[in-house]
Amino acid sequence: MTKPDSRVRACWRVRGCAAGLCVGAQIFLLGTGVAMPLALGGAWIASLAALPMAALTAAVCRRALVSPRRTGRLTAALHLLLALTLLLCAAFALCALVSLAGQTLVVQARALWSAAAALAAAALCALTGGADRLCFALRYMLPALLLGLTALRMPPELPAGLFPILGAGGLPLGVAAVCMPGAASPLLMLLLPPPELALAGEAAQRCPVPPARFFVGRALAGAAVGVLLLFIASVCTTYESIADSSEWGARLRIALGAQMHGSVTQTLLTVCQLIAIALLAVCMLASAEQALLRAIPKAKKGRAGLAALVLMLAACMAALNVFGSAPALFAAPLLILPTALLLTLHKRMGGKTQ
Amino acid sequence: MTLLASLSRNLDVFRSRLNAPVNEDVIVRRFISGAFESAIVAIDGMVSAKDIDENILKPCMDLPHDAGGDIPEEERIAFLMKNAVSILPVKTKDNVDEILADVLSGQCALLCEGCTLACVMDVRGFEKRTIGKPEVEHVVLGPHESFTESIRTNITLLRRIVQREELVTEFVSAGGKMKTRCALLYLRGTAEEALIERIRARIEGCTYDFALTSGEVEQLIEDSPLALIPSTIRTERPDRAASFLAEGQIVVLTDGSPAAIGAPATIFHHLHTPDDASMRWQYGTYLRIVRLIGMLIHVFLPGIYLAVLRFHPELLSPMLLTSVYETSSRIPIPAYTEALLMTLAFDLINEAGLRAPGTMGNALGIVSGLILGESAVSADIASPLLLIVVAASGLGGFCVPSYALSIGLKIVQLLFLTAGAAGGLFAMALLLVFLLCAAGAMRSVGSPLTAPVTPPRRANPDFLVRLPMKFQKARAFFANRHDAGSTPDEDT
Repeated sequence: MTKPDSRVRACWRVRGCAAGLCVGAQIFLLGTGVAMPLALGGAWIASLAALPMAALTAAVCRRALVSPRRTGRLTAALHLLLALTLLLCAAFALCALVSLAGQTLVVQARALWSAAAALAAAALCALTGGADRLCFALRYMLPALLLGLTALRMPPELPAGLFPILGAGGLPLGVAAVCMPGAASPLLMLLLPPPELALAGEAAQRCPVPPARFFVGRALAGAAVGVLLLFIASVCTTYESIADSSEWGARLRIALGAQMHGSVTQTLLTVCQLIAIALLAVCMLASAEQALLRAIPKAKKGRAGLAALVLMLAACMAALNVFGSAPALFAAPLLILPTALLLTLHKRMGGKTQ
Repeated sequence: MTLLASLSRNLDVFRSRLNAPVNEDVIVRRFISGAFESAIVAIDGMVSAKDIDENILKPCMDLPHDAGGDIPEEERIAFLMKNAVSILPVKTKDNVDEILADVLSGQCALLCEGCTLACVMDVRGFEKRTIGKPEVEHVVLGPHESFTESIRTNITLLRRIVQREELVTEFVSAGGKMKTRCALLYLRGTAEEALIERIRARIEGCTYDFALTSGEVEQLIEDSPLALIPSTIRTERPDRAASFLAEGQIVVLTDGSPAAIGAPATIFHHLHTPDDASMRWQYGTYLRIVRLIGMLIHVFLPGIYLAVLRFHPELLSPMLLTSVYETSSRIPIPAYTEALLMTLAFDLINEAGLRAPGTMGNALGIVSGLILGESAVSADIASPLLLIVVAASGLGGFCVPSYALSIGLKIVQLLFLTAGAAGGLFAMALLLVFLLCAAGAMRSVGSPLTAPVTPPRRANPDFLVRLPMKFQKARAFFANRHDAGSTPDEDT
């Protein structure tokens, strides 16, 4: 393999791992936010419905990438829609970040302060442009820490959360399963090539896009970690306490033992969760900017595109601060609609594939 | 401006440009060399008078009176080089500015009547420091030689280790008005051509009046001036610089600075020491882990202390918590200010110890640390636990092998301290993500600073764990792999 080939492949590996991490985090967020109130302990079974959608999204995105490039108003509109969808994903992730922090690490802090801090951090991270690389660097460490810390201190009442397997019953489980495919929406970032390739020379641009199994494999690996985390969250939390828990942040917390706080392991686990969710938000924001720049190239000047997206994100966060997380949780499963629309249109526009 | 045929007019130009005779160390010596007149121009003290006497003046003046009388005027300088002057190295030039720059750098110019060429000879003879032991990069095993301020000596030190025909030394000048001589060393075929060109362009493209030290030259080369982490690696050890060359890095030596700059570099260059390679792999790996722990303690411990104290007291045992709150209740200043003051006091003692003359530095550090710490606790200005935290954190800071990185990490430590005080572990986690994202995006002369970990690159298993020598087969990712159409990182 020549140097440009291996480096282009490395760019795709970074992108694929970032997408995998994002979809895993999104499945966990949607699972705890939407599926868990419906299906209770069976939320992790409902989340399995996200796996085929993740595989399909990854495959269609790869197909769109190898199709001949088109320009025109429709393409610009599609990129605009993509930017908005990814921005909504970022807003959803930031909302989760604030909820989880508010229920665990900074109970005494005001939600507005937490939201502002999270938004500022996401904007600064997107400005640097190194989020994908960080995801790649943490691709083993973060899931291993999340799973390892949980395994280190599993509560004694472990099996209690596992039953009843179907949670609240067949119908709620089915409804939850219908909501879960929306968790595949972060994978839409794969419609965009890695940012490094935009600066690439001719030799790099000629290098082939990796095969579909490359994308599908990474998407499914990330999704599987998300499902596993949801399973652990369901197992660690008893059926009764899930039913009683109305706060999203409380459900996001993977509770190790009976103590609400107080354990170093528990705190470390929460910090790892926060980092994973923050990375999802940053990757989505950075990808939204990339999509926006494809729709409106002039927005590149002075990072005007990123500034506009951050302002929109700030508006979303302000709205969430006023109305709470309920609107976000209601809207999150609906992300499947723009996702499906984008995939369908890209598939139709794709034409011949390589 | 080029030389004229008239020796007198040429010498007038040199006298005028060098402010002679006001400038009393300018040597302009006219003499008869065979059938024509010649002159030398040099700076007193910069040249070896003995070399000039024995190898230039005496042989030229000993020529017979009719020697060179029958040769064309333009070939007189070549005649002298062939028949009289016995010095190496020698260059022939006709540009007054270039000749002046050489004279100012300690070389001697020989001019002849009727000839528009001058011969510039390297007869540098100024005083210089002898080769000593490294002051910053101490090692237990391995060589104990360090670079000096003389670029020529430094190149020789490197050439003595890297005995390969592919080793190339290019000289470039940095600075606009006051030029500093820099040497670009690389192994032809191993170093990537595009990287050499990029570094050369950055040094030569300097628009400032002067860039005198290797630190300033380093700032010309680096990609991210706003970053807290250095994006090139500096060493005072010839053996380390030689290892950079072997890896495919370009080494930049600056005249007057006892340090070499290696570029491109990765973050791992800053975390490794020359001792790692000198030891068996198990020992080197163990010490790396110890250093990493020290570094993590240095960066995070004060921030975690404040975060736990202000936001997560439940993480402490009730006994310890009671003790901490009891002590804190007697201290009149907020915990953040207290921690900030103690951290700054530690850095103050460290800096004072570093700048104090001679052996006073060590004594000053110990005495002021003991007295100040004890007094601060007695006067209820600082809590004992905080002193332990700051001392442990400071100790961890000394584990960082790279001095430049250790200063960067001190600033990062203060940022985490502030984040921990403002938003506990939540704010610290956000800051960590931001700093890691920023590090991930950083480049060193176009190559990713965090590679080969991210983005992935082919590399030896030599990051945290250093596997045995038989596994160290791959050439560094930024080196030339002789691939057709290979491109440096910035292009992909």
